[in-house]
Amino acid sequence: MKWSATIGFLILGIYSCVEPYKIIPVETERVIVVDASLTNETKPHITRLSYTFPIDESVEIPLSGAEVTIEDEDGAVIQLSEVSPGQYQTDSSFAGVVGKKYMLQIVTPDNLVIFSAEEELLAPSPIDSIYGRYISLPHPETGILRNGIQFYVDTHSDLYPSSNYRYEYVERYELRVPFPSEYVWSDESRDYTSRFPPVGICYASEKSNELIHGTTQGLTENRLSELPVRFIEDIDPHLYYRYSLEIRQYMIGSATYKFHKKLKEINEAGGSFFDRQKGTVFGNLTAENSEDIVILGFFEVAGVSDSKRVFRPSEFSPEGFEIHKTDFCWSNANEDVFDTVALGGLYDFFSFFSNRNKNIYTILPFPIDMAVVAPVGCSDCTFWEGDLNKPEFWN
Amino acid sequence: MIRISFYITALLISLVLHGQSSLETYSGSFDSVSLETVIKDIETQTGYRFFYRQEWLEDIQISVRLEETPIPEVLNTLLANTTLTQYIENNQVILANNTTITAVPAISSFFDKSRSAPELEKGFVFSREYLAGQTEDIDNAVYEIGSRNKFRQGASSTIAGYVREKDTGEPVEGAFIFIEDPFTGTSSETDGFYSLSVPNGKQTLLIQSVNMKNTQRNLIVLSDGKFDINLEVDVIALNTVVVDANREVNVKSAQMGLTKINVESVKEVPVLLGEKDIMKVATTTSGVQTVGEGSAGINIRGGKADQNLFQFDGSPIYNTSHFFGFFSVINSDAVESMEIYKSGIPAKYGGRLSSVFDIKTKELNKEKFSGKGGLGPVTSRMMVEGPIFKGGPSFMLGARGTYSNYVISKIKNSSLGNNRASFYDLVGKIDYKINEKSELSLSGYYSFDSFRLSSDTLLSFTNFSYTNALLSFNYKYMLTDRLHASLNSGISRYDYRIGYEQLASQAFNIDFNAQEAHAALSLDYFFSDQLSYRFGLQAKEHRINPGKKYPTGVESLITSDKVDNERGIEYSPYFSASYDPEGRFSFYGGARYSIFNVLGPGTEFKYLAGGSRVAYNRTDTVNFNAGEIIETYHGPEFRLSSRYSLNESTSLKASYNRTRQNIHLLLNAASIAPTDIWRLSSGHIKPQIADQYSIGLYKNYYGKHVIETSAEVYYKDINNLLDFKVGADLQFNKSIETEVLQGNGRSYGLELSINKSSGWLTGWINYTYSRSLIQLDGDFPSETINDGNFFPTGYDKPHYINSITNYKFTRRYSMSLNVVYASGVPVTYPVGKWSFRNVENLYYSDRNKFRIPSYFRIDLGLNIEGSHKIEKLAHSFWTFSVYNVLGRDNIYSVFFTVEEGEVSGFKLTVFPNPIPTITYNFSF
Repeated sequence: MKWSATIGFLILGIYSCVEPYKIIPVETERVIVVDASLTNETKPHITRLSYTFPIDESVEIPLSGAEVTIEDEDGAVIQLSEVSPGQYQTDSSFAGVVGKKYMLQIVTPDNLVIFSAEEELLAPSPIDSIYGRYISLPHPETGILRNGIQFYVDTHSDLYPSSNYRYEYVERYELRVPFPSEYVWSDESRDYTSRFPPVGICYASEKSNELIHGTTQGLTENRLSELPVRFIEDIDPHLYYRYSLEIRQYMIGSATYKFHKKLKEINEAGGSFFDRQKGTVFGNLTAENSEDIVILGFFEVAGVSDSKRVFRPSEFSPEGFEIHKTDFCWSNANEDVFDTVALGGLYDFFSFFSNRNKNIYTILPFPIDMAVVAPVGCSDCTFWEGDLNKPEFWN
Repeated sequence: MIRISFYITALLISLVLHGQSSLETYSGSFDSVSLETVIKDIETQTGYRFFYRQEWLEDIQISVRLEETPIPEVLNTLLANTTLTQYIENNQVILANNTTITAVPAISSFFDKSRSAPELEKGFVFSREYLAGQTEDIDNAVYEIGSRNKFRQGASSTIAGYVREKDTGEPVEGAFIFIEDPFTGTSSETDGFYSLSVPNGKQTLLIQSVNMKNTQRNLIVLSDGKFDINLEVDVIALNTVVVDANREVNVKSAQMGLTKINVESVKEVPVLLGEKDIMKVATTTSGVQTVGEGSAGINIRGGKADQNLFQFDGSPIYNTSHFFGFFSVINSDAVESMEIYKSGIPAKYGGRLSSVFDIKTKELNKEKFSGKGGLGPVTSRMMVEGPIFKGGPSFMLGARGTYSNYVISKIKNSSLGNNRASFYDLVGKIDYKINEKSELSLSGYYSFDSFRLSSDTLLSFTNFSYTNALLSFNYKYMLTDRLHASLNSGISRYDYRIGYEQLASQAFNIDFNAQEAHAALSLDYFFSDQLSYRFGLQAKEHRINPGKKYPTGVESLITSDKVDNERGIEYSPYFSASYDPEGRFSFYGGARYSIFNVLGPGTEFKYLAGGSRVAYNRTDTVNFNAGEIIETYHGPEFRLSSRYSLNESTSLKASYNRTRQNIHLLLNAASIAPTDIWRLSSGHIKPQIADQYSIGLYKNYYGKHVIETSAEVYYKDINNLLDFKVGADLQFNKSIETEVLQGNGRSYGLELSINKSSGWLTGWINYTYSRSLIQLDGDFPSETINDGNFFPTGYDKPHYINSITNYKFTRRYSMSLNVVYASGVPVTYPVGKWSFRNVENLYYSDRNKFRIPSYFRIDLGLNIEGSHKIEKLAHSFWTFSVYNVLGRDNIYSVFFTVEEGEVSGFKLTVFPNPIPTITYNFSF
């Protein structure tokens, strides 16, 4: 490192180095986790029950066989039934009523009674607009500036002096592979046939996997503007073609907001000189008669609204946005090679294990009589977990 | 300059002194020849060599006849009627002019003899004849002390006064004042004050001090009286002798847990980025711990970082660090000394639980204009001082600044482009000695820090700035010889601002400030040289603005809002007595009474009795008018220290002190963050109270150099120690009581220290074992941490070793080594994951159950002083230092984040590579 650079880093107090640190797995205490939600929508409302799981694993342990009920302020009890291990849901015709208070109660198979605080269902407010802007944003870890589109949400409510919101989104984007497979090989018939449906264009979809929230507390009016929801860098494939963002907006109470905010801070904070005290964030659930028992999670009651919008990358061109396409289709450098195979040699070719998941991109007809075989990532968009069906709203 | 020339002389002497002693004789006859001629003849006839300055001998004519006379006698004869003095070692003769040269300082012989002083009857002249024919020569003049009417034959009287430097009037600390028969003596204090009990009658008072000419005063002691002594600068340094008042204090004083740092020692410690820093030196001393690089907090004996009182000429400094703690706000060139009290805190100090850092600005040069400065790679500093006019007040001005923004702008292709950081500080002082009895001084300090981070998800802010500003007025008046008064008043203010501007619609600033205005009257009554009293009254007014938020920019939708201001007044009368009889035992006892009134205007929320303190349990809101007392907290604070001497060089000490703290920094991390807020005790936040008990064994080994050793154990009990709920939101919080937890704290430990402060090799090694625990056992799960059991605080470091070694190769070259080892700090570790809303979250262990790996660092420094030529316009020295020579990856923190639903672990290391620095320092 050059001398001046050393000094520069130092000056900022960030002449420091952040490196991965191996998480040493320790014995995990089994603690019950409640992920419950009730909204004003008519649909099955889901409560998921699970246990904490070891730090080096990624599969949660479901809590099966519990009795889950939701009670409203008038004493009406709604029963939830277990549809899959750990997943409990209401009848699909049920909807929460705005203004009513609800309480969740769980009785585990060990007869532990867990109940939530009473939570009021607040009226949803409409999403005023979803829009994007071309900006530069520093990377949260490296601090290096990245160019891309930041998508924002604007909303307001006339019903309350101030509101708290939580957001979830589903993004869909058109995904094209450069060498869409035209033929499909069959081992049984030892022949190739034209492929249908075509696998050149897919519609990938991803759900938000971070906690997003906003509040109008402390603002002059109950209007939230420019709440950043999603950032897409100019090299990400999401914006190569068309992109849609569907946003669900949960109108939540201030205690729910505080819980999500603390949880997000604890999840994301770190790496500064002023790291705050870490610990487990508690929600609105307690175990009856046993205050020492920790219950994680939250019973969220919210009014929900949603809205979606489809974007074309060209919309952002006037702002200077430019796509930097990269060949994202190479998934494995060793195997990702193109082959030209004589038509008569295709059976032998596909009997090699390493060639099994390759696709015939195209056939070069007589007099060449060869097949061009492409790696799967470059020839079949479903490899990228894309859906071949175009969403209804796409055009 | 004189000092330096003498160092050279001494050096030369030490190089040429060799050979054996002989009892040679000399014969010669001269009539009216120069003394030099005689000396040259002695040199040719005998093996003796003479060292002198030619100009001393020029005008001396000698007529003498000597036959087979031993050399010492020859010299006595030759120098009889001159001002020259002699010192013979082996067969080297050193001549000096007007200076008594000693190889063994009186202070050493003092230790050799018993201190018992039988009250001998001394001859006494009842006539006033001795006053006749008084000469200009103060050494031979006779002075009357006390009043004839009060004279009692055979009794003793106390002489008290100040020892000062003749030319500058600056107090001389550590001067040894004694009489030879009976041998009894004392040394002067920081302000030059001394008091000595001597038998009435004719006495010769002898005064020795390093760098000062030895002198004597002929006294007629009639009764108690005042007697000031002015000393002339000189150096008598044949063998390197450093008289250090502290080393005697170590075993003789009742005070324990005191570390005194002289600004001179700062020079010898290797530093980061070349900025010599008294605060950094403090962290190398026994029992003073820091969390690590880049952390502003200092932890003393298991205390939290906000439990230390930093006083600058009597006014508090709220934030003592620049640049996240990489530099301290104190410009070391402006400082005379710093005293750190860790236990046995004297009654005149109060307001913080753990320690007092009493920083005194330098005594100003009253004779001539002079200055100091330094140029480093990131910062530069400059300080000038001198008299405003001859005989008038003196001034000092110092400034320090950084050119970091310039350096940052030179770094290309880096993510730092958007970041900015800079600071500067200014210090000034005027002091004026009005007359013999009174003097006043006014000091001021201002510091400014500003930085901007392009991304910081934790703090959620982008712009930060803060300022410290203080003004301190000190007036000393000697009411009588025995009763001295001092008045200190001042104001100190800390302002900071945080801002956010990432989203124009939500751009805002929040301003905070904390202010203390205080006045204190302190009286010292010297009843005798064994017993003295100190008493006084302090009043402090605290004002805090815990947050005022306002929109910035036209697009911002943020509403202006503020958290109620806080105001409190604290009165503390105190009284203490210090009793130090000539014997094995000495004692200090003090009491302080703290009365703290929380004043309106203000709003206080009431909560459901028996319910947890959360918003939905709020039952009532009480409003208080301006000046109305919201709450009063009061209580005594006793301070006791004692010393029992096992022998001349060993003593055992014990102390107890209680301290109370009514101003709290909402510190939710081990390190102080620039966004931390000060709050006062209130209806919901109770004062923190600590009781500390400590015992120590002190032993000095006297030889050619003194080696001080000490061992102290302590136990501290804290009530209402402040902590917070997990994820507490402390920014702009109007009901902070819903996030605060208060519990019991407990800390204990052992501090071992070895210190050698003179000779070519100097330094210290300290080992500290300390534990710091807290118990948060509330009535509700969110108020109970770790099942209500005691657990380690975030700054609990059981093992801590720090050491400084300094080796002087020559007068010009010295090298220093700094070694630090510390146990890793406790961390809360994730022990599991849980899935919620499609995101993986962390389930954490009990608070502070694990520890990060231990910390180890070695720094190396090399000081090269410029030539010591007297004629040089400016003197200079170069400092080369290498921070973290081993390049060890010391982990500052371990943290875990959830990104895109996945958990990953990271470690943060600060300065993982060695960092070299060069600094140029100069003085004129």
